[in-house]
Amino acid sequence: MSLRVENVRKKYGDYFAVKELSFNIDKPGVFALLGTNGAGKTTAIRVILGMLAKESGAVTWNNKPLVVTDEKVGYLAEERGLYPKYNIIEQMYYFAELKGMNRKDAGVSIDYWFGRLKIDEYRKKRADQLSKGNQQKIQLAAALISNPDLLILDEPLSGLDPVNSDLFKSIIREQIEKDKFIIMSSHQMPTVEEFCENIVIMNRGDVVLQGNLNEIKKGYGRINLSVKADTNILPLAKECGLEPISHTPNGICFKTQNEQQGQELLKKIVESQITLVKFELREPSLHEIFVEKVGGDENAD
Amino acid sequence: MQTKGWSRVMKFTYIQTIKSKPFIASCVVTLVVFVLMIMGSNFLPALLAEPENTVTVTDDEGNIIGEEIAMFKINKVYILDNSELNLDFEFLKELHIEHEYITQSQTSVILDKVTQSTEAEVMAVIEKGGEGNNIYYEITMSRPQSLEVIKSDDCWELINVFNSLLYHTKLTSTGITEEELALINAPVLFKVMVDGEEVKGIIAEMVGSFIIMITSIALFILIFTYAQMTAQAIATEKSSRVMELLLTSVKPLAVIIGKVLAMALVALTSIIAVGGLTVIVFIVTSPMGALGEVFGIIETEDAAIQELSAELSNSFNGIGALEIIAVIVIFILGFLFYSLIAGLIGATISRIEDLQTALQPLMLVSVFGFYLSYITPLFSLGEGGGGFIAKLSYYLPISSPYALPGAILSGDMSGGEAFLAIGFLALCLVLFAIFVAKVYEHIILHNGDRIKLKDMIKMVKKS
Repeated sequence: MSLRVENVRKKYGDYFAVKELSFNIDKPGVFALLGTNGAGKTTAIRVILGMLAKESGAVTWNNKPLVVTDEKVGYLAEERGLYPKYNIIEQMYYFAELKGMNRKDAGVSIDYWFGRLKIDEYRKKRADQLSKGNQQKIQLAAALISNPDLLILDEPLSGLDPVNSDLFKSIIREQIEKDKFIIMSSHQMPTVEEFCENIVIMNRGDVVLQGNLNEIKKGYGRINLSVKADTNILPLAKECGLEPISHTPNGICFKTQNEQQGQELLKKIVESQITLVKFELREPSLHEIFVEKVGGDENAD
Repeated sequence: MQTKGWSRVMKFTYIQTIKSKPFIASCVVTLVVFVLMIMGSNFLPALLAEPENTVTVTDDEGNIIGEEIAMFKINKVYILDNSELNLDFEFLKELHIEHEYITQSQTSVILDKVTQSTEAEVMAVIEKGGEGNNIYYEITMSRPQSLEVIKSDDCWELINVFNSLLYHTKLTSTGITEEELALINAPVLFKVMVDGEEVKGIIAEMVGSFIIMITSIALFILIFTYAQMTAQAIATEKSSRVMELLLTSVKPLAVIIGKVLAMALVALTSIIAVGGLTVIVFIVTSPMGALGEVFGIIETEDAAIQELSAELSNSFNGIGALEIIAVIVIFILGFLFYSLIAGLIGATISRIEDLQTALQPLMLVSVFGFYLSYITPLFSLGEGGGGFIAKLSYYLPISSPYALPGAILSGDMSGGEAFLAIGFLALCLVLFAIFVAKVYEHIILHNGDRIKLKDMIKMVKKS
């Protein structure tokens, strides 16, 4: 199985919401679609799913144009939606039957996911009687009900408390173990780092960075230096040509030009017999890469 | 396949709608209104009617043999006959009205007595006036002051009887025989023919107009109400963001088809439930009430009601299975036409609170179509439904769903003309459905400002 997105473009009036988006997912796992608000992620997802017509490009699933209504695709939309006045269990059966499931299989699947997500007690309730978090669980169940091969999760963890966030993560992990293809859009960079091997970062419709996350990080090198000592080390840092980026209770952060610059500072600290609490020279986090790539765009909202 | 899954959308929408409290409440309220109207029409006249005048019937020897309801409320009449015709009032006995001849000198005393009387008695003075060729007769009837005893209408009824007696006696006094009298009184029947067919009389025209007006009102309420519900259902799905989830399983066209057909089924369910129960109430109560007389279920002696009943009977006798099928087809076509428009409007908005504003143009168009069909009878009276306004209302797709059923049921349209008009409505529906299919998937996920008609036309051109 594979998903290929090639040169996809989507225009609203004169504005290109997505410009030349291309990526491949050749093996199961989580692919991250990242970007600021308004970057074009949700539009890209809707185009991939065929809900919005594209100006050009192609989306193929197993080397055939993706027709989402003919494939086993699960979708958790960014803007959650349930029928507010209808009974939850009837809505679930409806969504399952629309996916082509018979009532018996739908019942088994609903039972499993309602148990797994701990929402059994809400079966007979109306959607508008549930909290936002519980509505989100219902919708994740709706996305997973047909055991999809391709799962698209648009901001799956937004608005969840830590307990439910962990529950969602464990389910995503299960899906990865079941060799599912997952596209995830999120603003929670640690979560993306936790799951994703490959990423695309979009900004105002443009792809500003894409590739394997580890390789991207390696490309940057270990240039993030974090130091905590019991004495002021700033004069030593200055001698090494380092300017602090931030001061936190956990120490002072610097951006080095190369690893050697960091090693030089370490040498000076040791020679000065300063007690070192923390010295960390690491690759940039996804958060830092993201901010670097799109943070300078004042127009990004 | 663009429409795959429509039946599941239809089934779910139908079940959820008929289970909803607003639908149940509207059916119950409508049913209660209809039942009250039928029962009121049947029983109110009887409840409001004056008590019958019951009289004792005796044999020739004066023995009481029973009671019967008198034709007139008046029990006694004092008569001063100055007509010089020697009128014979003996027939009044058969009408259970006692009569007493009085003289000119007694009139003032009798008048006082009658005026103050609490009995159902009147004084009638029949006089001859004028001279030569200007002779006239005058009947003056005086009644008691109290309306609880006798009303003026009761006097008019008896005056009519006296008038007939006067007319009959005038003629016989000239030596005319009964045979000659029958000849003179023979009724004249008349009719106007067009191309070998009788043109409807005014009562028949009124009955036809009544059918058209009632049908157009009923269809307007049904079609527009359920079209609005279609718009509401789609707008709710869109604004609650359920649509995105649905579109991973079905195409937009399947959603709108499923919704529109579900609402058509809901409308039919409502018609069958409310209509069926209303018919049952009608069947049960009419044999006991006024509607039974109007619809010929029970006999009436009222000539006007007899004529109305005959015309209604004629009108309904002309309705066969073909006419009923035609009406159902028109209802479905009209409903689909308006529901597709409403569904499209529902898809153009992003927030449910914008729906009423968005529906206003449709409401104006629909009301215009309704009025066109509603006023058709006024413009086509005497033209057998063939006036220009009528023709316009039959072929304009915004009015034909309201106008055609009434015209077909009342017999104002020929079979060929009806077939042509239905075909034209179906053609308009198909063309509009193609338009909807082209724009619907472009607008269903649109958020922000409402999409205008010109934007939709651009979409169609582009696609």
